[in-house]
Amino acid sequence: MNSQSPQGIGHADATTSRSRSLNHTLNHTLNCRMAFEPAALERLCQVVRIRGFRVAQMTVESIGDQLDIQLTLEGTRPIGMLKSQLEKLHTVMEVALCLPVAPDLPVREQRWSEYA
Amino acid sequence: MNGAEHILDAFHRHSIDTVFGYPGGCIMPLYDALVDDASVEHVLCRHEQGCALAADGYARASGRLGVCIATSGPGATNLITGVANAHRDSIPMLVVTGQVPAGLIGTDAFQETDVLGMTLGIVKHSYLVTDAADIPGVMEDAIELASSGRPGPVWIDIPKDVLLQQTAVDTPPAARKPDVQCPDLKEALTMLRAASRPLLYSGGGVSLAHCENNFRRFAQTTALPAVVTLKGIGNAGRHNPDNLGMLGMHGSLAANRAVDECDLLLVVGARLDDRATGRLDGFAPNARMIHIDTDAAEINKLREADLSLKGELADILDGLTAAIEARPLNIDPWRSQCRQWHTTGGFSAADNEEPLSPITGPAFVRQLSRIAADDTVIACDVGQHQMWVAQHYEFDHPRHHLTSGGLGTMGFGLPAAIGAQFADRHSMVINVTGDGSFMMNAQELATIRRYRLPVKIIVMDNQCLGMVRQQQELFYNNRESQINLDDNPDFVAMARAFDIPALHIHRTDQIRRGIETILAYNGPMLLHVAIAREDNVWPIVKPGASNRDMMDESHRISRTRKEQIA
Repeated sequence: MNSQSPQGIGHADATTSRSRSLNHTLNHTLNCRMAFEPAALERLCQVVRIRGFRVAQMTVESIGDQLDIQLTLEGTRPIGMLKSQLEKLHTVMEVALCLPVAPDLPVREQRWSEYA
Repeated sequence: MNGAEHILDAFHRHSIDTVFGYPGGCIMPLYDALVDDASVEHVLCRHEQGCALAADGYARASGRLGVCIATSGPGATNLITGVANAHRDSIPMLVVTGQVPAGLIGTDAFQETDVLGMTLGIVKHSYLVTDAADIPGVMEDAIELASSGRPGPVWIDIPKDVLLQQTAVDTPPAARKPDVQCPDLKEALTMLRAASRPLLYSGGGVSLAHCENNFRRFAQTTALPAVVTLKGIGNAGRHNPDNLGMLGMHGSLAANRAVDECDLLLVVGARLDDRATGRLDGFAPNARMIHIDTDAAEINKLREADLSLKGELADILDGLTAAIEARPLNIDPWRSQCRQWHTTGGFSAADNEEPLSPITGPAFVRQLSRIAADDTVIACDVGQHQMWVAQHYEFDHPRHHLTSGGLGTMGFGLPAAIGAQFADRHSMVINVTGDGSFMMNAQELATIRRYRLPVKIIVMDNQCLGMVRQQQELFYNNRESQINLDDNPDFVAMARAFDIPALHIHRTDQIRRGIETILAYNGPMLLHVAIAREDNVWPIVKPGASNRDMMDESHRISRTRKEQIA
């Protein structure tokens, strides 16, 4: 994952290459806040699907004119790429990644502090 | 005002004076409002796909927002290819469609389709407006969104009853543009100075960011050897001695070799598309990479950048230019090497000296490039002729080369040329097309006729789908399948049926006179150019292979057996 500073400069870090080198299916938990507009959830799910992830679990809560969504996703691609694509959606206000869970991986592979 | 009039009001606020559309049931309130509006010129195309592609061509040629309008159902579905085309190439576009009345949505009403649902993947954003009071605000947001950052199409779907709904609302405040700080350039400069073989790699992002002049100054000041993507053609300028031309699948040997041997790749407004990079693990294997882009999601998407700079390209390029101006780079040996490669490995197509010989695509395009003025706009279609134009036409500005890059939409060229001609009624606009592509939107000849547009149309006719035939020859053991078009209509007669004069040429000695005749004619004209069926685009990299593995004509095994029409 590229870490972009507020000034728009980014450096390569180990996360992306490590993610790419693994061909394991990982579970990722992602919290998303977006505007409650027509087709909001479809828009979110469309991006998740086309960027190579499967929704394993999804909870949605509407709070006023916002939606708070928690997604558990499965996929082999770097989750940082999906996060960048979701952040581009006009109605998405915030996307936060939680630590990944991969039951078939050794513990050391699960501690990716760069994800947050 | 009703909802429809609020749409026109937004057009006025944003100086939108040209829209491309086709009327129908649910969009009729907007067409009714247009009757009394003299400040917006509505261009009636003959198919909604033509509307969307014309709006796309208008936007590419002018740098302004392209606008297209259609009705619900089939009107909206017919727009989809054109909107997808704009989405893939990040073209600023506003799409307005009528929808069935709000109460009928979801009842399978006449001409109802779920436009919002169908188009999610091909728009930057979309709206379904259910209250006319929201229209002014939505229009402000949509216009700003379509044009800002990485541009793209924004679609507004409005039920008919909402278009008719009377509402009094104040003019909304203009959408706020986010402040973008210029990133620190120190590290980029350190990397540039440390490199002995740096290479500039630019794409369509340069013109999308309206920073053509900033880029040109940067390229000239640094004198970096430069390669371009299909959409970046023209960035470096026609007369830049360090421009190696297009890289990639049909790129030059010189461009691909420079990428292969560079030690620093400076990527500006390009997304490392597979047609440009070939197999990624063989792409620029010895290079560090600096990626400059306005879209954070492009950074590290396909290849990790050693350094990424996200921001306004103009600011970043100006900052780098100033620093290099103060202390120039010392890369003369590398420049000499690249120039030598360009001399020996640039695109070559010998002008055929034999006057009675058949016309070849590259020789024709080279002549066209020499004869047409520097500011001529070429709107290509998709196929072999598109690649011959990319290889052999020398463009001086990226907005002079309109081509469907990401989506590869056959049928793009003719409506795009119409849009470009509306962007500047006095410019020379030429649609270079193939016989397959031309037939995909040939109905737009009627639009050219109606508005008396002086668009020139060059149909390079090899009586087949040449690019498919070529790949069947090279990669499918010469087995031709469904590419034969030798029952094409008489294109000259067809143009004349639309009251467009037309010429036919088939010999090398007719090229110059044919081109000069259509360019000199005061009005639209079609030139039908018969070319050999067997001509291929060389060089070529097999899809999925590394750019190192370029194939030239020596790889040709044998001539194909011509497919017969059933």
